[in-house]
Amino acid sequence: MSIAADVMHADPTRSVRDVPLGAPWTQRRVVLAVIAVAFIFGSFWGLRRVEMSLFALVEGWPETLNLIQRMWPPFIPADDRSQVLSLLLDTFFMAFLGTFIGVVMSVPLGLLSSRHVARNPIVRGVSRGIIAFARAVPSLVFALIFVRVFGIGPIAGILAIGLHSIGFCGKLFSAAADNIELGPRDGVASTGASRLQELLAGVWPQMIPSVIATSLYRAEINFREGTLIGLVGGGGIGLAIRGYQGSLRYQELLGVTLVVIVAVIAMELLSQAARRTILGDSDPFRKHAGGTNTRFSLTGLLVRAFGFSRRTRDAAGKPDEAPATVASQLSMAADVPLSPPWNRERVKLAALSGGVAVCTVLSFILPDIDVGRFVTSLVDLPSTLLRLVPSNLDFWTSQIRSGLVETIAMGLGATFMAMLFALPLSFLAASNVAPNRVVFRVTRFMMIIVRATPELVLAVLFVAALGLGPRTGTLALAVGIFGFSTRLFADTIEEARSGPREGVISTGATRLQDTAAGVAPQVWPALVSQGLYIFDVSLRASTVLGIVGAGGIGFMLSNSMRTLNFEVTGGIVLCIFVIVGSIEVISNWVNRQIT
Amino acid sequence: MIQTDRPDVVHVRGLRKEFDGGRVVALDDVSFSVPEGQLLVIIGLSGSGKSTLLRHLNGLHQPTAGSVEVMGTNVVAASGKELRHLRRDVGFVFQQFNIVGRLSCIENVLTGALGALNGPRFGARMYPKELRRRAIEQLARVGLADRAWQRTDTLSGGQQQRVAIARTLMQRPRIVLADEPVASLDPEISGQVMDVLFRCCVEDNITVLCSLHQVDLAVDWAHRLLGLRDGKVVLDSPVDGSIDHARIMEVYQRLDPTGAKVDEYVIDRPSVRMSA
Repeated sequence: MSIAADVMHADPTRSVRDVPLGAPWTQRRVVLAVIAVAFIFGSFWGLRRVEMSLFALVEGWPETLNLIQRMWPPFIPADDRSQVLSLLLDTFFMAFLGTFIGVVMSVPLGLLSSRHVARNPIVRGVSRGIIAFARAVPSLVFALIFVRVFGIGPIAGILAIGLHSIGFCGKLFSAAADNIELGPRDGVASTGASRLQELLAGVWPQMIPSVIATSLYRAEINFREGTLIGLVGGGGIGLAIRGYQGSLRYQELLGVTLVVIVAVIAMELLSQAARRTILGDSDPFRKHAGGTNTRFSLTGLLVRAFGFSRRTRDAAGKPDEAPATVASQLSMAADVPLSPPWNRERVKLAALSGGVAVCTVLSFILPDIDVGRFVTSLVDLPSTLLRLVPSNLDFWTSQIRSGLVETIAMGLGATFMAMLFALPLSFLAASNVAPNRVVFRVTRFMMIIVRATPELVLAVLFVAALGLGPRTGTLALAVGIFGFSTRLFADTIEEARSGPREGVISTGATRLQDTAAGVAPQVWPALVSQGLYIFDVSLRASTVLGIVGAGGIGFMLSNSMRTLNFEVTGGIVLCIFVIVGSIEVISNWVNRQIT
Repeated sequence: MIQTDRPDVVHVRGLRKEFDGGRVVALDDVSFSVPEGQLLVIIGLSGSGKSTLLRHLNGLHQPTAGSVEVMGTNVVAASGKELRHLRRDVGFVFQQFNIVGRLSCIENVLTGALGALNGPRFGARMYPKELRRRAIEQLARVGLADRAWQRTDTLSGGQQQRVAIARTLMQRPRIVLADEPVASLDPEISGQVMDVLFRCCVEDNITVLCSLHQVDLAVDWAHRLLGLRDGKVVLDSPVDGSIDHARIMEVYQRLDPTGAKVDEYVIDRPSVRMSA
């Protein structure tokens, strides 16, 4: 309807004075307000529950200084260096094989949970359930269980990493299948192809960029998680961390920590470079600065895959030459090779496949993998898993309940503390808002360092300084989550479009006004979604902090495994699944409300 | 030029299609037959039922009433397996090309052979050499042999549609259904693409049912025109010297509520190109 018609049809009896001066309370606004209030109250409750206070932090400062003095300078004895290096290599191959296994299992699961592939809702439901379970249970918890079955060593770590990866990869693969363009699939179907042919010729090619990017990205995350697996005996560099921690050798502890940080950053750069080389523009995890504002659904990261712009190439923009004459074409046809030429794309894919093949072979040779033991233990696996299934509710003791409540309190408190610092800092770490390049670079660099330090390593250090307990865990978690959320927030802010900002600036707004009126309104729905995701991550992380004595259910979890109380372990895992699962359901619901 | 001595390959009788439980009638008592080798062009405004009609012919839609018979197969009663068999003989050319952009041209063309093969395939090397040779021939027929190994999404729109046509030809269909094959292309390219489509189909003696917006293209190529308005057949005429231009234009007129004819309704709709 044109403006003229609008004016014509406007009700003349309604005067300007009748228009309210405040925004109406729409459903969306109510939902947001309730969430904000609930989050703030929940966080204060959580912080009280773990006895976190400014006073406690100030009080702990001298001890922290004391620890730092004992740690400085970091150092790894010459005798241990080759050992540390070989554990680092183990970590790499563990992460690699784990990712490999995870991806291989995720492809069918992801496809079967996509509405475009599986028509049977029961099939979809079951595969989604498996994916959700794998996502909810941290790899360290899987490792704890597998160490019992396969003994101390990398096999437990590989399987744990592989199983947990299904949660991430399966979900993203399923999203990739859900997001394909249906036209090409219908095109293949219209030729009379069977369902399976249709899947491989019409659906799978469209998923490839996402599958490659997700796998490489997951390999990067898995390396980071792989550094921790050793803390429960699952192999890799974590064994060294555990060793130094146990013998109170703090200089060595800091030394290994720095090695871990450097290695994690190196892996991150490697994965990024690989993605950029292989996928270029079609990398769904690529930051698209200045591009369209992506809608963030369940998780900020997931949505990088969900929302990646579908590049419909501009057909009109290309010159269209007239078809050559039939005769010249037919003579040309004889010269066309029958096998694909070695173009850049094929070379890249061949290099990737070759790399994967070499790594697979090496990862069976280099780390201490006892294949014989693996096979014999595999026979015991079903019976062990069955013993995990609680036969009654005896595990549901007040101790477990309070452990779970403490875990939630830690997750909430840590999220709140992290956000408190991450929100303002992320504006400094966003290239389009930061006051100058120096501030931007310094903030980003700090975030890279903080983010590369796994939460559990922080927890180990903090426990040494501040003692055992949930307060230490919350603090370690807050620091770890802080680095991660700043990066996530900053990336989102960078996606704000410049058009609306130019509008704001053209009215004579100051820099801060521009940020508040031009940038914030564009990005805050995405920031809220990411806040929910960060809470989800922090909750899952807080379930394992207890393994190093930093509070929460993790302590009872590792204790139950140590005392071979399988049913209690199973019961706790079930509780974690239920809690993380409900948070996911809630955040999905909230995301639907606010987008 | 209409070949009445050939046997009919398409029979549609009393076809009616309702959507939304009868609130929208997309097709209303549509009946016609098409003899083998005929080039039939269906014209009409957007929403007149052209696409819906074509989708009934390969079983993508189920009619509310009426019968659809294609090459002796009763499409309405056909099982999933029978439909797949039918679709191997009935090519479909889409407005949005519906090719897999990430794959090379030859890989897209090869998918046309899937119906004749058992089991899933991925990548050109999983197809027999003979089929690859044939795929290149089809690409040559649409003028794209030199682009065989190029990624399809690096081509222009007109070229992408030609790849889609090559894929359809690869099927060795007896009927081709084309649903607005050039609606997303500019007029000059449209002419080239229609040229390729109809030339190849005539060479292979393929029956074509094609919906079009452009009356001039329709008149250039069609043996026969079928005009749809509000789901009803309002024109069914062979295209020869005697065709009355005013009668064709009537297809595009609509009655307004007062009963007066609103002429050239299409002019202010940018999605509809009319150069006739």
